[in-house]
Order: sequence, then C-alpha cells, then structure tokens
Amino acid sequence: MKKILHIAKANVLRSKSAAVSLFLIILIISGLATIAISLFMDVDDDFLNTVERMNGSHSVMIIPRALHNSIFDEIILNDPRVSEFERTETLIANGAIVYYGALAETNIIIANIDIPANIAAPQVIARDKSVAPAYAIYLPSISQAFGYNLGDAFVIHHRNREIEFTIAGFFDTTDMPGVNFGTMRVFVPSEGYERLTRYFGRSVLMMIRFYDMNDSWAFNQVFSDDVLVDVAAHSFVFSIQEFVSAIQTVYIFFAVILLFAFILISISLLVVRFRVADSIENTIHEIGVLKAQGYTSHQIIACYLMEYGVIAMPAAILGIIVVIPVFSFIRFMLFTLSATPWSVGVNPLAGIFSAMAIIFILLVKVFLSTQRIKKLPPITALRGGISTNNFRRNFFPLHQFTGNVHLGLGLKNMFAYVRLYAMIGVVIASAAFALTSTAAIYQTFVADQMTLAAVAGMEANEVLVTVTRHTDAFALATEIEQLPQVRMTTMAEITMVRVEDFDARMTTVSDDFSQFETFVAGIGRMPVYDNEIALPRSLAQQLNRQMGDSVRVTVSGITQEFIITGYFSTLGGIGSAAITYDGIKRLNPNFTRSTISIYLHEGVTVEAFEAVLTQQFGVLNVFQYEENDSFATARARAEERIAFYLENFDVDSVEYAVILDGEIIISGSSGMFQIERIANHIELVMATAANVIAPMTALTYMIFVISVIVVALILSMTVRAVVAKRRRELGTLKAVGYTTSQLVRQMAISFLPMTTLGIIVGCVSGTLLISPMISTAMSASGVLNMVLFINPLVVVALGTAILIVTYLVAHISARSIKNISVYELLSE
Amino acid sequence: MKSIIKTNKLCKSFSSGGTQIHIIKNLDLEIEAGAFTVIMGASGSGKSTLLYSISGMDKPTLGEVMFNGTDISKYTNDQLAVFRRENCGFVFQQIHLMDNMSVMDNVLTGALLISNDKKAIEKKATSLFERVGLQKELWGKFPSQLSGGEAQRVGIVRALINKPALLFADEPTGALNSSSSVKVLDIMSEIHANGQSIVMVTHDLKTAVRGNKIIYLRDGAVDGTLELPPYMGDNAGKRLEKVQKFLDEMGW
Repeated sequence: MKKILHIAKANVLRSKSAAVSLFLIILIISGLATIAISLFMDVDDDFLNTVERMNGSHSVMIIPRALHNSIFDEIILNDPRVSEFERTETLIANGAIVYYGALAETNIIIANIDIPANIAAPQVIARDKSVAPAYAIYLPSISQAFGYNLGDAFVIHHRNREIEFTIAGFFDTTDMPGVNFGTMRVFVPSEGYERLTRYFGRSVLMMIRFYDMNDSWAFNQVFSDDVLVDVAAHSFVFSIQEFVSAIQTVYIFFAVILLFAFILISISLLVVRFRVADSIENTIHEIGVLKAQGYTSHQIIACYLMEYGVIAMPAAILGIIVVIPVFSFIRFMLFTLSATPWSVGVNPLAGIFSAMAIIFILLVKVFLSTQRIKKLPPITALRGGISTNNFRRNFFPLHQFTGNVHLGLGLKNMFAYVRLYAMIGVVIASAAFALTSTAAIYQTFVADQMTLAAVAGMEANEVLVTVTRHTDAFALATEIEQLPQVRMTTMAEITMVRVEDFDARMTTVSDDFSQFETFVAGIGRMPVYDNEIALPRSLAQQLNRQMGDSVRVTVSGITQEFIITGYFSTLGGIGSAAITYDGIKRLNPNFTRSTISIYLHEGVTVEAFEAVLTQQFGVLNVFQYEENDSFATARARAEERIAFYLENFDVDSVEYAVILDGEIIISGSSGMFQIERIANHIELVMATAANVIAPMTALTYMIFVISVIVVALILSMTVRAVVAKRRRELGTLKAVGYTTSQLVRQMAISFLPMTTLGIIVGCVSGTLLISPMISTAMSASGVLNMVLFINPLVVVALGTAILIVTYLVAHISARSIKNISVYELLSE
Repeated sequence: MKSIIKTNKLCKSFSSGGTQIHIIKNLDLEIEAGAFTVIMGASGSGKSTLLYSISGMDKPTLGEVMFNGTDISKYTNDQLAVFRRENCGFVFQQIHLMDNMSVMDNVLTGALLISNDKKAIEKKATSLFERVGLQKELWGKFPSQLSGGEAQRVGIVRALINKPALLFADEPTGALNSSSSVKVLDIMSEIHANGQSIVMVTHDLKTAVRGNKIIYLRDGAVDGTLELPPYMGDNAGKRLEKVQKFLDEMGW
C-alpha cells in the first residue's frame, strides 16, 4: 500500500501542471454541482422557511377602518386553522416612489414602528438614531438595492404631492417587501405617523398565521366571499401562496444557473475522461517497468486509482468549501429578485453527493481505462504498447496543398488527433452556447426592457393618462392622438376579477387588443368578443382548462362564463387576465374607461410630453407640497379634496372655493381638469425590470468569467497533452529547421477549424435554442414563448472573442516547447 | 582541405540532481568539408552530445562552434533553426519519422521551409527516393507501413532534400538489421562519394569503416584520430583491420 501511494504521489508530481489543471476542473465541477443540487433541493422551501423563521404572515387583509367590523376578528380567531392573529392600524398611500431611478406606483402601507408586533415584525438591520422621529421612515431592506442609504431623503408621491422623509433604518421582511409586488410596507415612528394621518386614509391591517400555511389561500377565498362580501371590493387580501407565485422571477435565475452548471459539468467530465485515457497511454512504458519489477496488474491499477483519488478528493471537497462564500452572492441576487431575504446555502447532502458522484465517476473512468493493463505483457508495455499499422488517409498531402506549409501542417495535425480536437470542438461549442445564451439573457433583460415587458405581460407604452371622472376618455384620447408627439393611443384599464377561485388582480380590459405591441397572446389570440378571455397558461393549467374551455369569471358577486381564446406570457405567476370592455360590462355594468395608454414617437421624452398635456388639458394637482407655506398647504388640501370627491363619490363636477384668512385663494370648477393623473409608464416598466437587471448582469459576468476560465484551463490542458504526445514529432520538426514560433503557430492553427466549428455550432444553437429552453424552464411561472433578443453583431463579437481567446491560450500553452532543446525533445 | 566546422574550447555540461556533469571538456576539433567523419568512443564518452552541439541541435555550455567561419554557439534558438534548415541534414538512430504523415510529406516538411516551389521539391524528392531505392508505391505510405530499412532511407532522403552542407548521422544503423544496415551505409558512402560532407556517430566497427576520418572520444575529449583513404567497397577488409587496430590502441 505504501509503495502504491509512493508511486501515485510520484506520478502526480511528475505531471504537476496537468494535475493542477485537473484539480481546478474537478473543483469547479464539484462547486457547480453543489450549487445546482443545493438550489434544486432547497430553493422551493427556502422562502417559506424564511417566512416561518421571521414569523411572517400567511394571510394579510387591509380594510378601510370605517368598513372594519369586529365580527371579522372574531371569525378569524375562532377558525381552528388560525394559529395567530394580529390587528393593527395602518395608513395606505396609493402613491409612487423612486425605484431604481424611476418613479414607480405602488400601494404604500405605513405602519407605526412603536407599536409592538408579533407577526411580521420588522427586523431592523440598520438604524440611524439621529433622524428626527417626525420625519423618520424605515424601509424594507430591498430599498438599499434601489440606491437608498441611511440618512437619505425618501419621498412618497401621493396625489402629486411630495411627502418627504429621512431614512432612519432598513428592515428585513417577507411581508409586502417591495414595489414589484404592488405593495410595500414601511414603518414610521408615532410622531411621524400622527403627521401622516392628515394625508392618508386609516385602515386596519389584519395579519394571520395558520398552523398549515397552505390553508391561507382557501381561507382568504372563503373569507372574502362569505365574510367581507362587499367590503372585499375596498380591501386588499393577500395570501402567502400568491406571493410565492409572484417571486417566480427567481426561477429564471435558477434556470440559467442550472443550464450553465449542466453544460460546464458535462464538458469538464469529457475533459477528465480524456485526461485519464491520455495519462494511461502516456505512461504505458512505466507500466511495463512496474510489471517487469513484479507489480501485479491490480497493484498498477490501484496506483492509478490512488493517483486520481489524491487529486479528486481534495479538489471535490475544496469545491464544496469554495462555494460557501459564492452562496452569499447567490442569496444577494435572489434577494434583489424577490425583495425577501434568502437563507439558501450549501446543502451538506448536496455537497457530499456532488463530491462522491464526481469522485466515483472519475474513479470508474480510471478503473475502466486501466483494464487493458491486465492484458498487457510487460515487454509490450516496455516497447510502448501495442502499435498497430495505420492505414489512415493522408489528409492534405503537402505537395498538393495549395496553402502555406504551416497551415498544411496545422491541418494535418488536426486530422492526426481528430478525436482530441473533436473534444475541443465540443468544449468550445458548449462554452459558446453558454456565452451566447447568457448574452441573449443579458441583452433581453438589461439592454432591451421591451422584451422583458412582453415576457412579463406588460404593455410597453410610454405614458398612462387617467382622466377625471367627468371627462370623456375616448374624446380625450382622440384629441391626444392628434398631438404631433403621439404615435398612437389605446384604451386599457387594469381591474380585478376572479377567475374561478383565483384572483386576477391585474386584469387588463380593452376594446382592441390587436393594437397592443408587447401584451399579446403567445398562443391563440387575445379576446375580441364579450364572452372571451385570455389567461396566462399557468393559470389555465391550475384551473385544468384549455383554450376553447369555459371559465367562470366573477366581479362583485356577478358571475359569467367566458371562453378561453389564448394564453399570454406573465412573470408574476397567475394573477392576470385579459377581457374586452364589453366583457367586463357583463360583470360590472358601471365599469367606465378612465385610462388612456399613449405611445410616443421616438425621440419624444415623457417629461416634455407631460408639459404639453398639462398645458393643453389641465391636470389636477400639479403641485409641490411645502408644509410651511400656508397658502400652498391650503391649496394642496383643497385640490386633494376635489380629487377625493371626484374619485370616491358619484359626482361629475365640483364647484369650489378655498378661503384662507378671509381671502379666496383658489376657486373654480373641477370641470377645468380633464386629466387626473399622468404616469410615466415606461419608467414603471423599466423599474419592474430593474430588480431583474442587477442580478442578471452579475450572473452574466459570473458565467462569462467562469466560462473563460474553464475554456482556458481545458485548452491549456489539452494543448499541453498534445505537446506531450507530439514531443518527438516536434523535436524532429525542430531538427529539420522549424522555429519554435512556427511550430507554435502550427499548433494554434490546428485548433482553429474545430474551434471555429464549435463556435458556430455553439453560437447558432445558443441563438436558436435559448428562447424555447428558458420558456420551457419558466413555463411554470407563466412565461410563454419568451423570445430573447439577440443582436447578431453581439453573437459575432462573442464568437470572435472566443476564437481569439482560444488562439491565444493555444499559443501561450504551446510556448512550453520553447525552452526545450531539440535534443531533449527527441531524446525523451 | 577546408574545414567546415571548427570548435574552440567546446564544453557541454548538464545538471543532474543539482550536480553539473561535464560531458564535453574544452574540445578543439576540426571537421573538413567533403570528409566522412566518424565519431567513436565508449558509452558516455560524449559522442552524441558532441554531434548535437556542433550541429546546432543543442547549445554548448562554453566555447565556440565555427561553421564556415561563423560562430553558431551564440545563435538564438530561432537562428539555430534557420541554420539547421539551411546547412544541416540529420539521420537518427530512432529515425524519427512523423507517424501521422506520409513518406512524401515527411520529406517535404523540411523542404517547404526553404522553397515554395512544390513541383521542384517534389521532383527533387522523387529523384532522391529513386536514388536510395524507395519504390514509388511507398511514397504515399505512412511510416508504420515501412520496414526499418525503408524508414531509414526515407530519413536519409529527408536529410538530403535541402542539399545540406553537412549531413549528421547519429547511429544511423543502430536500429536496423544487418542487410538494411548495409543498404543504408552504401547509400551514405555513395552520397559521400558525390561530395557530401558527413559526420556520423557510431559504435559499430562495420559502420565506422565507411568514414575517411575517425575521431575517438574519451571523457569528452579527443583521444585519437585515424585518417583513412576513401571507401571504395573493395577495400573493406583492409580498412576493417586498420580501424580495429586503431580502436584497440584506443582501448576500445
């Protein structure tokens, strides 16, 4: 045993650089496999575990205080499924905040941090105690990713008023954590809370935990239908299951990581297999020596197993250790995608399984490759193995080859080691595939938000205008369409309907879906008639329905049958639908159009266009709130009241006058205002994309760097193997007068055809397959026919870059022959 | 006769396990143009090391190697490569044909470095093949399909294709059977008779008699030399005796 270990150690030391390359490759495989398996095993439960760890809510209901009834509390408390219940007062601001540099509309739930909470208590991770309590605000920790820091100003844009706070802290939460889920909960101290009650409506926040969190959705449905009834229309009701479906964007991330890990593991195993076979072939003479000395075949095989074992074992274990810090990066990316904290890390079982599987595969390969040693007589091994006559075709005969001699020799060389070069081709093709796919994902999510809008089921028009109640939206749309800055207008509303037992909170209502540019049906068509509906395929699957089937759609107790005409793509799970205007009228006869979607000509900025609209049509509440300015305060409050009356009461017009200190400071008719609100919709689309962009960018860079490292390692290992194989031949060529640089050039040239072929295959297959692959991987979260944007120039640039890297690595690695004299090359 | 190679205090050392081993020690040697010089000596005397040091295959540790009056010992590796391709031909004991190339390609690899005129090179190769008695059907074969003697004849053609000023041969018959050896040696005698300068290392008596100057090396230094008349074929017996006597004197 000692002797075997000694020989194995000597073999490792003899080919140190190959051993180091193999060590690194096994380390990378082990690390990637550990990441992939850990994510695969743990990621589904990770968020729910975090909810439990943080005692987060399973159901949330927010009901206007005036509509709240203590019976609601009693019913909840008496339900045997409920384990914990907590009711607090909260304020709701339907406003906007700056999010990744864009103004994004969201429901802001403002809670009092001084009131102790058991359920979903904010876990403050950073605090600035110097901030005055009246202006202090605590934000979900994801806000740090938006660019907010302690002590920064934070502004809530509410009814065009700007209410400014100073950030006093950040907290982790799994409850209403961010803008991209439509609701963000923030906390303020008592002093600030009292100040804000002047501006925002008071509501009751009810948080429920169940013994089994899976009961939350069913509970919410029954509670909404049978208890809240009409109050439900004025309330927010969330279940943890809906939130889980809303964080499905993280699955793009997993899909990319798993795909990449699979590719790298496959190519690395291929290289390991080659390395083992090559090593045995190269040491056949030593096998003869050992056999001649009396070593049995089993002992020699044990030497090889030991040699690879001593490399593979520490490499595989180190691979697991190395990914421990990598997981903090992965957790950060998941956090950015989902706005909730993640605790996923190295799963010890995954690590052990990865390491054992890799070591096992490697040793099996070594064992199988060494089996021929048993049949090899010592004398045959001493003579360099069994040499068989070779009757191959003579590729590129030099006297007929029209090109340069170095090109000819390079090509001949390639055909001489065609299996080896084919392996390089496969490696390069895989790397090119991974890089092209990553580039496509990067371009789609980072460079082209329109594609992301299409994937997310959003219409990417630039401006949304909400008209005042008395304004004829159609007439205003026609007028707006005449403006030279406007390319097109459409009418589309967002409302909530219930499809069977699922709330489709983001139901788009329009007369003419054919005008839509990014919110389109991926399969089938969008609804045209009043009894038609389009759904995300994931929702249809949950309902066990197909195109052509009927679904029951309910609004405020009115239920009608609708036929599914098509599926559209979503990123946020199942909560959306598309219905025609006539269709929604069947469910809600009082439904009115109030939103105009405006598409601007290229080059027209939203800000410039807002100014035009304001000037021509009158926009309510274009006003900056200054608390110390009594005139401004009065005017702001007056306009706020006007907007409130128009919005909440059945009035067409308000005649008003505001008197301050006996003087009329503002008066008129609300009829002068045609537009209630202008929203920069493209900013919202981009803001929605923003939380995907940062982690995707990081992931792209990570994949790029790892791909380059792995390709460089594999190439360097292969080139060195080729140099070793061709040692005598290179010596002969040097002897007849070839310079080192000529030989290096020939070697590099010999890699080019297979590399080029690999790049073409990889880039083309990456371009063609990435969209259907990601669509399939993401289909569970509603993604349909995702068409990733791939700029051909980027693909060409990427291919060229791989080619250059390959050529340079081959060049540099082949320089190893430089310092060896011809005599040494020949005599070894 | 004019010397083609002249060494001045030539030294060649190798380090092994931290120890310097001096193979060639302050060796002064002159090789005449047109001569068939044979280097002999016991194992480890430095024969092959000397051959590779004076042929630009390896750099000497110290001293000079003058080739036609130019010191090649200071050449860079690339300069030595150019020097070899333009001035030297090599015939090895292990032959060193490239397995993945046909016979013709093995020969052309060196020739195409000098000239791009493929037709002329092919014609020259054809003529050399005929001269060494390699039939046409062998030209497209791979080395593994040739016998040892045939392969070494390809090696000789490869060495001669660029019309080298000097042909270096390191035990050219060491791996061949006796009939193949005679054939190869006959070719070498014939090309020498046609004016080719040859430096050959051997420890075989029958091979050595083909030369017209025998240099005996001992411990990296010239211990003795023997001048012989040109080899004619019919005087082999007398030459053998003379060489045997010389080697006996040298203590071989």
